[in-house]
Amino acid sequence: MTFSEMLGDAGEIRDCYAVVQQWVDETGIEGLHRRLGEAEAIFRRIGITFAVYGEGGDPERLIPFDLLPRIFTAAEWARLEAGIRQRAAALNAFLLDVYHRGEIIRAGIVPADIVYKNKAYKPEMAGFTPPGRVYSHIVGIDIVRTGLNDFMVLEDNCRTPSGVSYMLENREIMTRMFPELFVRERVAPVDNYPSQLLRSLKEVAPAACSGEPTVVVLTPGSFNSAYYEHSYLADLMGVELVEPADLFVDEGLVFMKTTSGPKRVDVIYRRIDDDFIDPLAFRPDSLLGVPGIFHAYRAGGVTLCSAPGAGIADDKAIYVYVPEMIRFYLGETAILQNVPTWQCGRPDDYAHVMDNLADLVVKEVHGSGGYGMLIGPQSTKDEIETYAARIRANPAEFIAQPTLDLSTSPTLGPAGLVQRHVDFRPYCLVGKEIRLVPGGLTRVALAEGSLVVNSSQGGGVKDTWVLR
Amino acid sequence: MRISIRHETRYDYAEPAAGVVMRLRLRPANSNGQSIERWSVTVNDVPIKRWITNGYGDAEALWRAPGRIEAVTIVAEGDVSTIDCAGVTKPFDGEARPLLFLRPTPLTEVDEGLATLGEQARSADGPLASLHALKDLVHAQVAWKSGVTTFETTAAEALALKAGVCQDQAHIFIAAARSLGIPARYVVGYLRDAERPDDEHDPHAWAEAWLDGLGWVGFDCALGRCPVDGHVRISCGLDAADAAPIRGVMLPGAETTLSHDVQIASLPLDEATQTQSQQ
Repeated sequence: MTFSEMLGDAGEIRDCYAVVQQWVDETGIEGLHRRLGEAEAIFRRIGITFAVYGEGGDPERLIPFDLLPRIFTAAEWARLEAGIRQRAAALNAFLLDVYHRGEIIRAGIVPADIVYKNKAYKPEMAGFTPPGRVYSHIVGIDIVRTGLNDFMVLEDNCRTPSGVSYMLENREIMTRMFPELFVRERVAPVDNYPSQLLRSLKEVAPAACSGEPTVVVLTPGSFNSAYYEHSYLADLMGVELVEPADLFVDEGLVFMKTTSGPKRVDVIYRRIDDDFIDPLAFRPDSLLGVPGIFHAYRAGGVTLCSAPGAGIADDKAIYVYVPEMIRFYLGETAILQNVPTWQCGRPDDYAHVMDNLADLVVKEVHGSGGYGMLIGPQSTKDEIETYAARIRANPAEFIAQPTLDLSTSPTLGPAGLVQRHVDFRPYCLVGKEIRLVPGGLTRVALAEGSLVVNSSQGGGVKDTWVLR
Repeated sequence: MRISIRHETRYDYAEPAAGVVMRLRLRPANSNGQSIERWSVTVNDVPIKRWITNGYGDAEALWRAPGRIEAVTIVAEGDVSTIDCAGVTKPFDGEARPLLFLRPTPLTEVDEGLATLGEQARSADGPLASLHALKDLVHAQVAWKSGVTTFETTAAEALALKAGVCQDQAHIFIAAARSLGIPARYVVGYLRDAERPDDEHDPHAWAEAWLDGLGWVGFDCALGRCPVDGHVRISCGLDAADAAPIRGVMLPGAETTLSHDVQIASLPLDEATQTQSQQ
């Protein structure tokens, strides 16, 4: 049975949602819709939009916001937090290992091929130790819930996970519009995320930096779907937002062009993919990159966050090994479980997947954003057959997981509250220490019964409360 | 052997070029087989001083043009003393793991012809024997011929042509070795060829294959033998594109003309080197 975040086993309202129920009763559905209209007007005014690939229509449309918060109790959060921190530590330890001696491969735990033949693995990083031994400075971990005590990790995001601006904006809107809710309930604040991010970035300043580190956010430009977030985070941190053409490399150091002359840059929170960041190190046809920036990084003149090649840790082929990584590097048992995963490249798994396609979710190993996946129970026979042909052609490119019965959270529907499936992405910061703001982004699949929460596939967002 | 090398590369731009930045891998590293007596790299007569070690263990530097520029002249020169290590280069701890060099690249993608070549070379006496057989096969089947291939020719295409230059022969060897499950990489360097006049050399390329317990073993399919003391290594990579000693970018614009001049000569052995080579 689907776990409802709001209701207990006997259908009673869980204590943590009492405030929400009371608020809904007092305000009424019509009242909530009116307030939602006001919230959307504010979002539009501040300009928070999210481009949606491949869906046509307005590329700058507003991401749907749901007024009803998703709530974690203090005890639930304590466990989630421990599990998230543990995972962020293990993923960084894995990256340090595979770019050095590869002990986990020598130990026979992770197969060499899925690391060294993986495009996400960058040989250019071999033997280099980034400042603070940190590769993934912002780890976004997608978590789903299937029961009162059942949390599972769906995937890791070690490169440049997006969406944290929604966490901040959603809370901002809620506190601005409904201050009384935050008087009634003690909700842990998330507004220190930008200062924690800045602190983490400054902590990984390179050897060449002697004074106060200069941090910048590097964006591919205003055509990028997450540009709003890039400028928003730069603004909140009080640092410059730069494009590649604003930077240049000289004498192993990186400078930004300013009206008062070149200024040294020490730490770059880059929101450009590895392949496009430096045409002299990676894709030579990239017009986006900063020539020589990778050389400056290896020379210790600048720090790139995340490190190029950090993506090997969040690859779907690597995902299945994360619990073993936690044991190998930390000597601990994974606090958060993985979703059981079949690798179609393994003959036994392949047979199982092909026999059970109608019940499974199948994903491309290197895909992201909910594109190119098959949700068996929601697909027609034809769709399944077409997809099966793709798997047959290249089994190693696919993994499969059971269709998870994601928990539902109360969501404002046209005529009242409806239950919609949700997931959760916290943003764990890694500098000299690991930091986690109590909260994250809750994504909600707005269509009835839908399990796809990706904002690129019509998902919406909610404020996420961690109670104290 | 003591070898004197002078390698000049010149880029001429039809109109002054803007935003020229170059990545240079033009400095040999000290290893068990070679030690650097003297080496310098200059770009337009300015010495390059800052070098770092890249992921393959090779020296790497960056040069940025001070403004618009009509020509770039890069001169790498120096003296290197070498000893015959039977083609074996010892790895050092910081460089990329050997298993990385099983990774296919667009230039070394294995097709049926390359897989067949690998199988022909497979020996019951183990991987070292297979690699020697492979080197002999490539040397015999792929004739050295300039002008039939370009820098973009793949191993599969060159094998089908049965001709090419040292780059193609090395690519064929690398692709076939990988198809046998043996890590192999591309090496760029210089060759002191006693049969050639000092001023008629080109940059040279060969392959190295990894053998557990031995290290990286060089195979020069152009010569049909393992490198001895006439080879000087400067850079390596997954293929020729990855190992390129010079890579550059510029803002779109002027047409570029590239020219090379390589001079390689033997030097008299001095006392110190003689002592070393007798050990």
